[in-house]
Amino acid sequence: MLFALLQTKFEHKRRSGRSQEQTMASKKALAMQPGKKICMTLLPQDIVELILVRLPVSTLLRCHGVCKQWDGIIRDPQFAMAHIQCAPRRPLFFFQGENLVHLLYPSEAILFDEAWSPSKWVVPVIEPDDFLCASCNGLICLYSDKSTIKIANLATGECMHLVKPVRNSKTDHFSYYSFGFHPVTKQYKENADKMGMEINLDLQQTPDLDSSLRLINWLEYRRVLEILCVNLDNMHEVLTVMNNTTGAAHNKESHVADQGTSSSAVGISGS
Amino acid sequence: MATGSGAAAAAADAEEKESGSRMITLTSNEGKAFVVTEASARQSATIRSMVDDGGCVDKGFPLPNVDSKTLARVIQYCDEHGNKEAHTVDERAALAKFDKDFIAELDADKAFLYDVTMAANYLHIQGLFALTTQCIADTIKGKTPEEIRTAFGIEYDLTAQDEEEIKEEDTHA
Repeated sequence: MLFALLQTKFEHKRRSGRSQEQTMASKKALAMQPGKKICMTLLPQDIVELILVRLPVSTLLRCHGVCKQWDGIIRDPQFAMAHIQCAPRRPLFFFQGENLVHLLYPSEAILFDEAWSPSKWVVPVIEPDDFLCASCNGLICLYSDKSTIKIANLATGECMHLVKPVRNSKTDHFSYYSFGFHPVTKQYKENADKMGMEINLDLQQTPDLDSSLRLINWLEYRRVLEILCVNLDNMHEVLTVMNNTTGAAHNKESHVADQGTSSSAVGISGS
Repeated sequence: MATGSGAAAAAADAEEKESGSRMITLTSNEGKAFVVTEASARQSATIRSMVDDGGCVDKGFPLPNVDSKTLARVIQYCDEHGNKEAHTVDERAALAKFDKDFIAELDADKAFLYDVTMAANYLHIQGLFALTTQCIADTIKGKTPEEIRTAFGIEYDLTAQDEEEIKEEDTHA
């Protein structure tokens, strides 16, 4: 075991040999000129946070591995909140699977990047019979006939299955479910409200979620503003783009997932 | 709007009488005084609130956290943004060009860029702070963790275990 660890370390050193040398060189330079700051670590943490908050999630996922300080910042839920505030929104299109003129169209989602080009690398999360029943903070809640409800993060391709309440199994319908985020308790809630059953998703404290999943969840939740989402005012414009880029798109019904102003309220009905 | 020449310390009193606008003295940690127009100084929310509180405008503002070189550069930004109008398209384009050149010049000297960032943070100069932090963020984009460490002189302090965890997360992402 120890050997394996050492080997990993060695591998790492070999891979990063050049950059390590450069770091050494820069350290020497620092030692030679004690008054000269060349090191970003001299920036106070709050400024580093304000720099990192400007980066897209894809970059932040890479930035974990830079150093402990950065890793700590990125894992911090408060940082996630701050990132949500300032990240740009991105449109997501969801096409519900359906049977049209005896042709079966599977469900499909398209995420647009900053340059308004469709990016499809996240799509494998969506299965042919999924139905988008809610979205919140960049997470989407997918319904299908199976025994679970799926909470998916389109930007990472991560998803989490939640068992449906047993009582629902016979008279199940997507409209029974909703999904939201409570801004005060910081809990996600998936709510099968018609049956009066609630499933609380406390992404921070649920003990059976392993730490990496918890991290991904915070990242998902930071992703919010990244994947989300046009509001209805922009919909027409987006549809035009869609028709130009994907020829068959106009055949299918499209849903625009929108965080909305009241995302927090979704799914927290008192039933 | 005053047309004061920013860092020129001399003849401040005469200018003040001529322009009818107050001049404000900012003192670096090395004791060097910089006389700027009030419009320029008001770019800094920190100074603006002190001026509005009717505080020590005459005595000037000592800035113990900012050295002369950094302060001079910060004032260059404040003069441009405080003393010039930005109403027409052309004026705004001129300011945008100034920002672009300003940040390109700073980007060449990272240590100085960090100094200016910290000064902008300390003085709460929102525009300048956004400009410098965005510039630093852009340097991070598209780099591997190793390249980032090299670019910023960050020491690698993750343990093998941390690294394993992160790798595992990366496979999910």
